[in-house]
Amino acid sequence: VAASLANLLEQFRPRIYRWARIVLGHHHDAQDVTQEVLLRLVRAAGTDNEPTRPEAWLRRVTYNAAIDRIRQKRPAALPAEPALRAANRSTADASAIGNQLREQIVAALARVSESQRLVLCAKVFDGMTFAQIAEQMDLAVPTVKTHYLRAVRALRTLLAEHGWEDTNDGMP
Amino acid sequence: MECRDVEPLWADWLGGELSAEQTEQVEGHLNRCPACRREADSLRRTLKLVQSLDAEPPTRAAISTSTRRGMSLLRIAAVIVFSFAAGFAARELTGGASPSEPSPQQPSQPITVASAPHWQRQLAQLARQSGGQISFGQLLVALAPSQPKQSAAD
Repeated sequence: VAASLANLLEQFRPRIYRWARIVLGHHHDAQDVTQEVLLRLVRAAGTDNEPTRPEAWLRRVTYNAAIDRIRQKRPAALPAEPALRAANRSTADASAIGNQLREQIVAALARVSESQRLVLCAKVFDGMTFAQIAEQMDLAVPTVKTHYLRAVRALRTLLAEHGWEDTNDGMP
Repeated sequence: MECRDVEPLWADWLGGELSAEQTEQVEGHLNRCPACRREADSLRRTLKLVQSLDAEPPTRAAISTSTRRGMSLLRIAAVIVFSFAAGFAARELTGGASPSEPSPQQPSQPITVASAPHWQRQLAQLARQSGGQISFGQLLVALAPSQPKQSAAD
């Protein structure tokens, strides 16, 4: 059991770090969250709380831990509107994302429902198909598709409320 | 294809899961319908923003919630060992009674007196066996035993 758990930790460690970094955008914070999540997995192993679907469990725990970290440390973190207005001209270049824009996108991501967020992240960042997500999250495929579309539309609304101009400017 | 036919396909279209034939039909409609074209562009732009989170962050910390360095492997181990040592000490000092206000780092249930020497032995054995070449997973498994009935919920 210990050997398989060790393998599990090694297998998922890079992915946990990446998920954490997507939200936090900062190496050291992502490291902290990675280790926190791995410890939680170790503590859950062999108990009634041991996850039957480790990847889905780890994705949920990691994103939640990363978002909780932002809420605890910077609860009022909201970028100024100019950052979002500037984003209208820079979305074509993903590498040009600024700190304030990143913060605003994450803040919006934190406000959609957990199911919507997890489906969206699994699709966008892990490249999973709707069928794969449905199986992993024990949901029906149409439900997964609904979560995905609602997540994107909710994010659009939330970002627009904070100044993102949804126009064609800057689109390739 | 009409607008009402496109609505159920937005998720598949945005997620790149339409068949070639469906894609052709949807794109054909988008070329004819300005409203659906606007919706399509808007969804794509929003998704692109989300995707941008996975890009390499800018040089300055984006969302730096911590000014200290991340916890090293050694610090993780120290936290675990300390939590058990604290539980052990508390039990010794209170003559076996559990502390009334357990700290967050303490195990959810008090450890037994006998388990502390066990951990010392295990650590010593681990140090001998590893020769400084131990994986992160092995260390965590060795140092952090499963704790009964601890909540894994968020």
